[in-house]
Amino acid sequence: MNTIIEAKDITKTVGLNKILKGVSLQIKQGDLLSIIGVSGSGKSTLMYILGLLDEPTTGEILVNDNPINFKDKKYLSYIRNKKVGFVFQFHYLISELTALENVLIPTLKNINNNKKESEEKCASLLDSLGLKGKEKRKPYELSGGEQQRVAIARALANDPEIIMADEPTGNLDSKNTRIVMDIFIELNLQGKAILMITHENDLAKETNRIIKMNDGIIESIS
Amino acid sequence: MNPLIFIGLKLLTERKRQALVSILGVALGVGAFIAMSAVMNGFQSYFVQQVVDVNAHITLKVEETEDPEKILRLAYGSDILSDVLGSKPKELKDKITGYKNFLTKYQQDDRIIGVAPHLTGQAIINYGTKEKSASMIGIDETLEKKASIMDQYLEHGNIEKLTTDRNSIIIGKVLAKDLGVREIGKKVTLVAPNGAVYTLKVSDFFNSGITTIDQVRVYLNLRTLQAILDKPNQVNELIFKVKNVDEADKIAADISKDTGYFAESWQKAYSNILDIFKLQDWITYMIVFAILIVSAFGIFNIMMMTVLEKKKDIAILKAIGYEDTDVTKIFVFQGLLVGLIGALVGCALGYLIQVWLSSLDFNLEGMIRTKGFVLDRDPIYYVYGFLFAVIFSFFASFYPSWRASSLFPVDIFRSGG
Ligand SMILES: Nc1ncnc2c1ncn2[C@@H]1O[C@H](COP(=O)(O)OP(=O)(O)OP(=O)(O)O)[C@@H](O)[C@H]1O
Ligand SMILES: [Mg+2]
Repeated sequence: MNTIIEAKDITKTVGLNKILKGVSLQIKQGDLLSIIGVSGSGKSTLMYILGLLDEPTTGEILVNDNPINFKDKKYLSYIRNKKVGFVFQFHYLISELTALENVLIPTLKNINNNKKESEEKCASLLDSLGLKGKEKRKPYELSGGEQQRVAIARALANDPEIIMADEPTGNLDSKNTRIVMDIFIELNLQGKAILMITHENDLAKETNRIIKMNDGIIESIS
Repeated sequence: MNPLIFIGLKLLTERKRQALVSILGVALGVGAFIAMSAVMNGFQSYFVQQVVDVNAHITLKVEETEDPEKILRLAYGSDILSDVLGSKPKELKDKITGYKNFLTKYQQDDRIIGVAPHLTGQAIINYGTKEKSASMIGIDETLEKKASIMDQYLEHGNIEKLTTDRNSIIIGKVLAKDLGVREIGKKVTLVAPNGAVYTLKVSDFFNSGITTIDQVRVYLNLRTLQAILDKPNQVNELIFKVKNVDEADKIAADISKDTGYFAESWQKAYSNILDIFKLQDWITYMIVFAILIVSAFGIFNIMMMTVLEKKKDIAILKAIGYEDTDVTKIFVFQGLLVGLIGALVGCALGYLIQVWLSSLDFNLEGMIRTKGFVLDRDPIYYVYGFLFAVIFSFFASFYPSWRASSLFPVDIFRSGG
């Protein structure tokens, strides 16, 4: 399988604080992996760097085997737009926009996209996530679980190779947690790589690989 | 639609009240600018046009000087010094010697349209029981028409009467009113400085619209006035009309040099008022500038608030692939749109104020007399007002937009939004 993103001996230091102390990791097509670890162990920091939102202090990130130049902001934006879909604990939906418009936003970045086609695609994404008939609603007219599903639809809008989710179920009840988890498993079956940070060991156990972080290093992979 | 415009538009239209307040602020600034410019410049150019044309572009007179010798030298040549003590400088003072040569000379000057001789003096005018002082100007009617447009201000166009009836007099409209002379043909009594009394027939009213002139000025035939003042064949002023009023200063300097008399341009004669106008312009534009600054500050404020409130949205936009410049554009677009709409509304507002002002019908009696406002409705003020507003709002939105674009999304995600 092809490697989508690879981290080579990544460190991250902020001030005197060594957050990551040498992390290497490969994410391949179709991977389903979770990151666990105590609070402050560096999970989110690692995900931000893998998702090109943040820059490592030392070490290298390769996307499709090509090393990333973190100075080339335009290219970083391009990769994030095309290849990565982000989901956070909070939904980050734009409250002025409808559910459908929120999902459309990543597709609009590419002006070559046919708006009509994009709209149909995004509507069917919402449909597949059980939000049929709620496309025109504003975020505040949706439940917490529905908001998170719209955020997942937005992450999928440009058909990325990998979904990176930082505690996507952190704000959800057990019913909605189950729904989101099932969506991720289904997406993985369709071929998408999934990287999920979680505090819930039960959820981590459903993934193929569990990466346990501790104090800025990977303690174990199982 | 461009996605940046789409997002900017959504962010703006979803906060209608704030947007409307900003738009209104800009509109008020632009409207005030257009209306005030029209009023101020209308008044000023009306005034300048009136004084420039009513009085001469250039007036050549005997220099007002405390040095009697200079006058004598001018009158009799430089070898007169020995006679100074015995002569009476006052009587010699007010006279342009050889004016007829000057007339012929300057009538041939390309830069000059017309030259006319004036004799000026003071008198008291009586009508019934009323008595007023007046400044008399003796004119040669045919030359005067070429050198000034005083004939255009005559209510009955009877300038030839000065020639056909040597005992006629044209009196200023305000003076006539003060005296109680309501129609032409009435006889007024004129008391000369030497005490002699003359009866003259009012042949016309002079109505320039400038109060200070209309309340003292009277016109007589040059010969008549020379007789009244006992100054046969004398004149004490020459007036010039020039092709280009802006060159009046330079031409006046040339005339001074050539004739040895003192040629004063209209700019010099009215330098006080022109200075006041400059001050007035400053004050006007300071006020308008202040309004524009305030409205720009309004835009700045609202943009800044939007940026602060929208940090999460900015973070997610950047995370999902929008670049810094995209974010800048989204916010600058909002500021520009507010400026643009505000400017358009302001232009309409300025237009409406102008229409309203020009519809006002009242008698303004002050430095000038007009019916209602004299407006300068030059379209250029719309262009200026529009451009100012758009440029101001561009700059007002620039810093907030830059702040938005330089936001680091990880900081937002980490703090949990
Ligand atoms: N900008 C920063 N400046 C200083 N310290 C930072 C900064 N960002 C992160 N840290 C520190 O780095 C450590 C790792 O943070 P990170 O968010 O990656 O942890 P985490 O494993 O995601 O924790 P949690 O489970 O609570 O989300 C923490 O101790 C945090 O305080
Ligand atoms: Mg975290």
